[in-house]
Amino acid sequence: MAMDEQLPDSSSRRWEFLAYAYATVLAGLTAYFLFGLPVQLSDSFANLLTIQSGSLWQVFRAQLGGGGYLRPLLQTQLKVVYELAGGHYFLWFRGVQAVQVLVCLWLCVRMLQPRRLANLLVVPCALAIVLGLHTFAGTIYEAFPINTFLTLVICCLAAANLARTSGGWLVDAAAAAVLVFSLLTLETGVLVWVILVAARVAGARGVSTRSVVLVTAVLAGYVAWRTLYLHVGAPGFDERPTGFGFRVLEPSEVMARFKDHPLPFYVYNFGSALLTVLFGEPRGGVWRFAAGLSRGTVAPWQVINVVSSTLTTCVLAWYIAKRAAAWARRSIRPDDLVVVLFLAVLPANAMLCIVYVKDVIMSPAGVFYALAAAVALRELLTGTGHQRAARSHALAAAVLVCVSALWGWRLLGIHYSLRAEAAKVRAEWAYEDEWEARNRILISTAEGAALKRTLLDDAIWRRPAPPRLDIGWADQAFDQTQ
Amino acid sequence: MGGSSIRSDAVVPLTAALALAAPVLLAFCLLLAFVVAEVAGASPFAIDRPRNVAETAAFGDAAGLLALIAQGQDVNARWEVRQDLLDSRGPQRVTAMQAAILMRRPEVVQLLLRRGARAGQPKELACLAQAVGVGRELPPSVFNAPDGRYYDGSPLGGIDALTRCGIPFE
Repeated sequence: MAMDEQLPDSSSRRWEFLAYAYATVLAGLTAYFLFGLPVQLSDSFANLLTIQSGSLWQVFRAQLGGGGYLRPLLQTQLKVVYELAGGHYFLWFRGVQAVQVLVCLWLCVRMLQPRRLANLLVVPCALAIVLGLHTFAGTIYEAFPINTFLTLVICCLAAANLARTSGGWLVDAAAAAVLVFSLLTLETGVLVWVILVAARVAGARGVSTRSVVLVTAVLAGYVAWRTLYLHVGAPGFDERPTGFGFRVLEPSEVMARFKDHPLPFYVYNFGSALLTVLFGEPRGGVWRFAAGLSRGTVAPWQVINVVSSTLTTCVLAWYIAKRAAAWARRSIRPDDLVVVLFLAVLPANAMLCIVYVKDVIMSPAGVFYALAAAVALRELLTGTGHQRAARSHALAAAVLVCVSALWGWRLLGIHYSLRAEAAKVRAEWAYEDEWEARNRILISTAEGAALKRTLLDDAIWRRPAPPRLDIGWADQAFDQTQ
Repeated sequence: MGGSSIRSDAVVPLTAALALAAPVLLAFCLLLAFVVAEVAGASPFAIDRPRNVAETAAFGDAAGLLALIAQGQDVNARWEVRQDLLDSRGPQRVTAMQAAILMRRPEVVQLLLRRGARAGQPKELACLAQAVGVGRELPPSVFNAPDGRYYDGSPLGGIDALTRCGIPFE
């Protein structure tokens, strides 16, 4: 059987339409599971209590204090949605998260430019990697109640998409605006600058020299404002527990071990962050798979995670090796841009983890990993059409089917885990009184009490709980540690 | 592979195209079918919903428990719990608190007490907690019973524990 097709404009539009339609349905399926999760108690409720009173400006100003963080737009976004919600917090905050997932998937599809059949064919696998990768899980499991990590992923994808435009002053202004927005939301926003500069170096038409100068000036201004005017430092490593070796170290242990010589700790965290994206291990700095191997207690989901990530990384490495000589001659194809951006984002993102490693912090690198893998998979797919030994064809097909099947499995797993998470979040609300006492939270205003009542009622009885699943083998087969 | 192909601007062997797209699309279709089934009212792979506060307590579904209490179910009444949940020999009629103790869910017992459940038979409940092995998490004082040993023996469960502690279940 042979399917010969020409490529008129209508055909390329058809592939694009199919790709966006697929992304939309997939985002809709994820949204279905997201709407099973009530607004969380921990993080979300406390954050909402903080921004309840005061004007938008007061909320913004309140976040300009000292300490190790400068995230004024994080709370401001919460305030905006809180006010817009008019009491319907669940619908608004979950709605924002569902829209974020949709936008994220659309931007991923746009990066892959599925105007050819071969590009369309990799879209399902690419989106499965985006959603199924453990670094992305934290962007949909949690919300604070707007998941800022997901916001940052969208900002990074927006910057990369701007680089793929034909440029102009409007694009320059948009790039600067995205950078400002992301920097004031989370420190990880600096990745937007990395993406824009890397795109320029790679010859992307959307980013002009003028644009690079502009965003670099914005970044310099931010750093000066942060350090010289606001005196905001960097977070210390005595603030949070973090994984090291085969277990999690408490801040006091980190201080005892690394206070005088922190470099090995920083290097370990940097390496862990890189490896977790490429190989699915370590997780949060802890070598769980390796520990499981040594004890003979490896769960099937751990094998699936490590094998799927490693195999995908091998395909990506093959692609990079194949294209490296051309890149050295500065011959960079439009599709190569995605891979180049991944190579720039990965170490930059890992640098942001040197104080403590958390998988979700690597979510931008994870998404670019998925896109770069898609480019490599497409090369493997189309490469099999050229004259090659039958053995190479068979090997390529075997790799493709394994990658596709394993990521398809992880796609199912993330949704199964979302359902399990829904039960956990509901249970948290049932013990809300204990949580209040444990965290010494005093709800003294009528407004605060009303917020608590609304969120509690939403979690307990106003929104019907989704059915709890009873699949005996699922706990072993799907990753629920994310 | 290699004979059949899909040609756009690049030749894509059909086998390779299927190898890449089919498995992940199968996963997508499974997900889609699951969601469509749930929206249509079916509950694939789901646990049968608990029918009352006692079953909900046995499952440890604290939020579901509060929802049923809010709907007006009497937390102190005895409710029928399906066979196999507490014991495989048949259904039992127990209170939510007894069900929670039998399933070794001390946190649910504490929640029930805070939500108006009464420990109507303090010594029997203390015995039940000790019989199923949660005597340390649920000391007799939790049920307003005097401190002491109410059960000494090997751990029991289900009907055996209820019978040993003198709690009616039929």
